[in-house]
Amino acid sequence: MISRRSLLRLMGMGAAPSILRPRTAFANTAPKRCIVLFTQHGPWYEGWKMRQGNRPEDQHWTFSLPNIQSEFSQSLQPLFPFRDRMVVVDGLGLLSAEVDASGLRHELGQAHALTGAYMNLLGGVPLSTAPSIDQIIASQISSPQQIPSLVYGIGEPPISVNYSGPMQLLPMTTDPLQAYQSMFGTSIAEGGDFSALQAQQIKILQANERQYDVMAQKLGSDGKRKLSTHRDLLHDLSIRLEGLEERRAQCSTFDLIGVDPDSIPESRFGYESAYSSFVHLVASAFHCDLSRVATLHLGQLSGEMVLGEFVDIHNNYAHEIWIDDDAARAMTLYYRMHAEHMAQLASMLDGLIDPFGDGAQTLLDNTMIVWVGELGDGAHGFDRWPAVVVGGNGFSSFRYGQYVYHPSNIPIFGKGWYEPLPGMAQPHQKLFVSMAQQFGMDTDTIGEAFLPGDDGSTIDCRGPLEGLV
Amino acid sequence: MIFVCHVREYAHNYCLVVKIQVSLIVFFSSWLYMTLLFLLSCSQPEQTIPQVADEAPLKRLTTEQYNNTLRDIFSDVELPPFQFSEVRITGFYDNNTSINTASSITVENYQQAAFFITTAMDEQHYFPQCGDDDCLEGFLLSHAELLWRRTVLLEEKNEIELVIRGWREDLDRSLVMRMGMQYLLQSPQFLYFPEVGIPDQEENGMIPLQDEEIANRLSYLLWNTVPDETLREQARKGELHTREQISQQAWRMLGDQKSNEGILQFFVQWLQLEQIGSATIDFDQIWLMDEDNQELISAFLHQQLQPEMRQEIEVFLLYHLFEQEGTLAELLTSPQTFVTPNLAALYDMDIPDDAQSFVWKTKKSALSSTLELDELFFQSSYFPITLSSQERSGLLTRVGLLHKKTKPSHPSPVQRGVFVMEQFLCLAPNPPPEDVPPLEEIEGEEPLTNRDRYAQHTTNPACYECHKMMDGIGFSFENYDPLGRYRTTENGVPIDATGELMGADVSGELENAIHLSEKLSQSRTVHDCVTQHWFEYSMGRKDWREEDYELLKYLKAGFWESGGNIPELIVNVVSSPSYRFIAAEED
Repeated sequence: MISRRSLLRLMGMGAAPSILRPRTAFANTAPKRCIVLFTQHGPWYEGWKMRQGNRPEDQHWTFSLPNIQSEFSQSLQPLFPFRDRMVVVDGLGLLSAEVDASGLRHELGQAHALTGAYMNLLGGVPLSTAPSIDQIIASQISSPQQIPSLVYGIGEPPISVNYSGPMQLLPMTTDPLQAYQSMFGTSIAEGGDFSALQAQQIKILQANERQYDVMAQKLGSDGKRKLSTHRDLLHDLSIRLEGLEERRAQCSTFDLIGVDPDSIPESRFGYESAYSSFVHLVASAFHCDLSRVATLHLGQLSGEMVLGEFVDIHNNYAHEIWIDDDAARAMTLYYRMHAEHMAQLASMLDGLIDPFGDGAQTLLDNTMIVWVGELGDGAHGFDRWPAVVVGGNGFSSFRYGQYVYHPSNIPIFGKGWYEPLPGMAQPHQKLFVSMAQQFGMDTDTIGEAFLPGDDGSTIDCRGPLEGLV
Repeated sequence: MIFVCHVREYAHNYCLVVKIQVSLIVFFSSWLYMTLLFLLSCSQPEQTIPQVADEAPLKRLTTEQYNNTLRDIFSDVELPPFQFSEVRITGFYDNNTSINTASSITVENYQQAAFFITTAMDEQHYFPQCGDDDCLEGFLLSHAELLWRRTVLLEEKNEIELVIRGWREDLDRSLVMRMGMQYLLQSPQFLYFPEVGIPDQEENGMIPLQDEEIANRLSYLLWNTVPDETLREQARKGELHTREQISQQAWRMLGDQKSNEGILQFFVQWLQLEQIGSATIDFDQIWLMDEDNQELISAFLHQQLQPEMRQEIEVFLLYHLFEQEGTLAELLTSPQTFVTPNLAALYDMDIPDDAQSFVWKTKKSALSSTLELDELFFQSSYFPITLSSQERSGLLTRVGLLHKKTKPSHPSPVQRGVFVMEQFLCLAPNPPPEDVPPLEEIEGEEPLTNRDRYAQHTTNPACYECHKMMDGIGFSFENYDPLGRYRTTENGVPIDATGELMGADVSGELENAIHLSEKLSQSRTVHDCVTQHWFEYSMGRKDWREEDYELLKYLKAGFWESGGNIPELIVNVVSSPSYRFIAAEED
């Protein structure tokens, strides 16, 4: 097994953030990498949103993010240093989840949030019927020689939200040590002739492929599907292994400094230390080009972490934001803590020169980080679904430095959760279409294309989000 | 004690190091008991059983099964427990076949594990020094049979030989041996449970499973690991496909210590025991020990007390299932239990001076993720005691189950009620509405008791409709504080533990949790629900067809008529047509 020392040496990767470093000129190229930061519940909208002047709430508008930190909303203040490299999107809703009657609201949110597609039950398990945006982007920007995506869970999230295909839920890795071993394991253990090792591994996988093929033909439809999938994944892995061992080995030679070795957790307890380790792992993977897409799925923060109190965040606060001032304050701080997580990630990436950039660009310059969650608010609402995008400099089509607002005026079938409101904001699929187009995909639809509106009307979910691009 | 015959030491898993001498008479009693149950269970005529074949979605080894299989096949090789990234969903058993399709990380996990295993084998001199290729092929073919848990077919043998010979053209023999082992460790026959049955014998859309396929089903359900030689021999002889043959083997297996782990896999998930480790307590409000340093108290709770709470339930279950009558009623009403000195303090009981202890071990990986433990196991010494029947009655009043459904400063009647609804009545509560009113505390009128705190649920019409059922059950547990300790007053006010049970055939007013447990123990609804849970776990699926409900109906009736005998329910399911036949697919 890998020695702890070698793990720590590798995990020690880190450098001071270089936010103040002079920027390179914008270049109109596609981002190279993507990270989804996914969180539980939702913010207290009043503590998250920003306003400037007396812009009407029933119209679409944008404004430049303020240059004074105190003018940032309380929840988003930790992201102030990235103000000219971020977009705050205040104008989306999980409309497809609202019209989907196939499950409970947490289940619906988790199924729809990254896929924009309806949920279905498979063997009683609530699952989405389409791939998630991270996987769609991975299929566009990852080469077969790379790990298709990293899916990490921190603090035991309730369920994975990443889908490689319809009803095809991807597992999360929740133990940093296991994630590390998965990323670097074989090279470290062998430490020798990588080309011979990978040639042997490829031979084994190819022989296994044949076995899966033969066995699949003998089984019924479920077995056939599962073994064929496994066979294809073996094939992908055999391609991925070409040169991967060498890249892994090169990666392990980085001079990595700056992290206390004792801070690396051996298991998934210790929320902040686990998060820090996963951030380092993602940065390492990007720096070595082992992978280009990652999801950091953050489980619920405890009352102790957010407020220093032993309280049940879910039941005592998240559910009660609209009716309890303490709950509103708590969820504002809750989201602020996640904003700190996003800032930590962005800082890490911005402290590393992108080896595949123009020589001056950092990893952050060529990475799009998108922070979204399962719900619009803690009271199970799907409207005002908050989204923050950070990253860039190497690509410019997103209107960085902007706050983008859309009103909740789309009449939704069945009136939805917020009956007093005239409707919901823009379908969140439009954010995904915008992202996909940024990554060079020629598509105008991600997830559902149309949804039933009120009184027989149709809601068009296609195309990019106005004001974002 | 008959108990120790069954749950005696089991090397790598849940194990009990027995300090008590066990007499042969006791062994005989246990065997006789299982035999009698077997004879009784076979008295139901086959024709009354609905002939329903299993839809048989493809199962894959769970991580636990993967590790156990390696442990039992390669007992001479020291291997670490592997940890794989798997999809887990709260409320679904880990063997659910709807979520076991491999992903990129799964395949990579297996590839790397296979590499590490052969590296360890190499270092520990497991591989023989073969002087010729016949030795090499013989070694790998014999391991194919072990790892695949069945006879290797001729075509499979040919394929293995072809692969080995191909590699031998340019690689040395020892390297090919390692590669061959990795090849077997990543094969579908090892990682999955491919079942083809005997298509030639299809009748009415039902294909009988092969005897070796049945052996695997039985073994991985009841033992969570590979079939033993007896089971494999029965299968090889073709004597493992009738209801009687399977029943006989199932009873034998339940009488074996290995069933501790297999059966606990179900109970741990059904009772959500993993949640015990995630409950937190506000020690400013809840006293646990005379210690000012909260971190020390917290460490004691998470690192010692919670694992012991969990283990108490494991031992309680195994004792009642295998050494007592094994009825559901017993699980819900028995005052017998096993405690450490820490748990005895929570129960406010003294351990008798002459009580003999035994050590119980649980895998660290099976306990809470917050457990900081260098060893692979958590272990403590347990003493048998009898709790006060005025204060405790069976499972639901054990400190572990009471503690896991708590708020940091007060118990949660809602969560306690929902737990009983979902797991014992098979009722799913509605999700909370968007306009959940807060449990308001008016200044100067702070609630004196926990019940006062939640009273608005039943006085406010917006809450009442849903909460009447949850809280009605949950209030009956008010005699137990967040750590599961019995209490008769709260802030000087006498506890009111009355409630109401709804949604069951024994619905009615409740005096307290003892009364609730008694009612549930006599309830057909509860017996049906437990049958449903076991069926779901046994079949590895939850999407039941119309015909599955027919079989389920029969199994529910059988469980009820048996007096709620759980081992009998287990055997009844594994010997049912759905465990012996797979459904033919229409072209």
